[in-house]
Amino acid sequence: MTMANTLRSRRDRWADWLVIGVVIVALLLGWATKSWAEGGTEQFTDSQTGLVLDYPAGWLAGSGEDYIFQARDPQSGPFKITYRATAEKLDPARPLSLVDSVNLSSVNRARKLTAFQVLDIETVGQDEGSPKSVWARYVYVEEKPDPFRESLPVVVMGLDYTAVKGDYLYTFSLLAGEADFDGAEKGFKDFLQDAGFDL
Amino acid sequence: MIEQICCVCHKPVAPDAPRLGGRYYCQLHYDKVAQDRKSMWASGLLQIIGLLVFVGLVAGIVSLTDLALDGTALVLAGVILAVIPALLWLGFFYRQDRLEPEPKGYILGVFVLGGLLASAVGIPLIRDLFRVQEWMPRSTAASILGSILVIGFGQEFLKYAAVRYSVYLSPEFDERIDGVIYGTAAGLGFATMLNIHYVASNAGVDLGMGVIRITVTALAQASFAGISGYFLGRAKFEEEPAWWLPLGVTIASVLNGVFTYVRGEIVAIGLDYKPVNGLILAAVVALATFVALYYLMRRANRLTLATGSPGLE
Repeated sequence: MTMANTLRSRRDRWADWLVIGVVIVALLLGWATKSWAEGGTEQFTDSQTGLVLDYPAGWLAGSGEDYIFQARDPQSGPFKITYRATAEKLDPARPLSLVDSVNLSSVNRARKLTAFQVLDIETVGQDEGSPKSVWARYVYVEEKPDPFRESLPVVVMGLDYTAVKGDYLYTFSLLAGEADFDGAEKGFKDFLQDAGFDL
Repeated sequence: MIEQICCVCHKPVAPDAPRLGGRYYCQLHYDKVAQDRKSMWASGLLQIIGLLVFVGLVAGIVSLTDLALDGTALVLAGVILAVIPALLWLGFFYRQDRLEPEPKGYILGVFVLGGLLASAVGIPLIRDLFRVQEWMPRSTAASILGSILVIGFGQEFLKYAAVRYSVYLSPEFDERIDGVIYGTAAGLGFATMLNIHYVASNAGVDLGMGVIRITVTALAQASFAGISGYFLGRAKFEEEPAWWLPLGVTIASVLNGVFTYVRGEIVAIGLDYKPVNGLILAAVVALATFVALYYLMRRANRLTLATGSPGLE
């Protein structure tokens, strides 16, 4: 081998490693972009209760007749991952038990939803004899998850967090298709903590 | 005495043998390095025109016959459509390349390798590990950065690797233009696998819309791989600095990413879906890339022929 060829092959090896290095750096920056995009939030403020909620950026948010806030992940599976919040003004003359509220919600859902079933109800903490918050897990079947196209029914899992804050009793719900639920649960709990609820 | 060898065929050469970029050549391979392969350019141009005709034909047949397939027939029709762009190019290329044919085994090998890398690494990396479909639509910045850093670099590196770590090392890679030829083959293999995967994961596609998407993917992937191939072709036969190849992969990746982003923006406008916009963009990008590569390659070959003489660099 000549000196020129030796130098040449050394430069080729450098070039090879440089290509690999550039691609690795680009992918690491891509991963950082992913983390940044996933951690990004937008803010919703409910004018009636003053509740401020930070929900994931890019989700479709709004309010409706039955809830003060709802956000849906447009990129999730056939049933879109949904966060929903309802608020009920507390009446000092007619104290409301958290467990009774959860049971009432369950009865109402059982009337409206297909194959609705409560899986678990868990109370957390004690405040003058009543729980500070209640978690309820349930499941039902959404028969037409996408109104715009033919699709199979989806098993939907739900998680409700019910607690009192200020003058209101809040219920926050996570709804997700069975396949998406486990991945969505952590984000939902972060969302509640960001809203000032001590889980 | 140190023996001098041809950098392509590795056979001994005389001390006054021709040199290029610090490398010695036998006369045969020196003559071939700067050869202009007209078949490559002709087949490239025919490919762009042929694909547009192909889209028109399929769309015309679908609209005239009210063709309504479903189930397995729809998936099969989609897979056939996905393979046609590659078959068109191979057909054009071999028809044009009869005088001095590139080995069919190498071309097909690189094509298959491109497809395998797409299926085994590209799709799992981008869709399952990075899950770009979940976070890129959240903001414009995320969409642009994700398109370039993840999709662009991920795809272009794999197509580059399909050439660099296979045929690039063989004596058959003996002309500058071979980089573009094998890069295009790798790009088409990659595109074919992306398209088959798209058809299979959607259990078939609407033929009119599907043929446009398939064509856009084929034009884009082949064009960007051609750019990396151009840099590979020059790196093998010329005195290029160590940053030359990283620059080539970076240019191809950035163009791929920008194309991916812009296509997303002009195809889905609000609730409107306009796939023809993507087709027009892909055709313009493919034609511009084709003209740029043609100009750069001819310029490099002319310079070599004008200044190169045996024993001189």
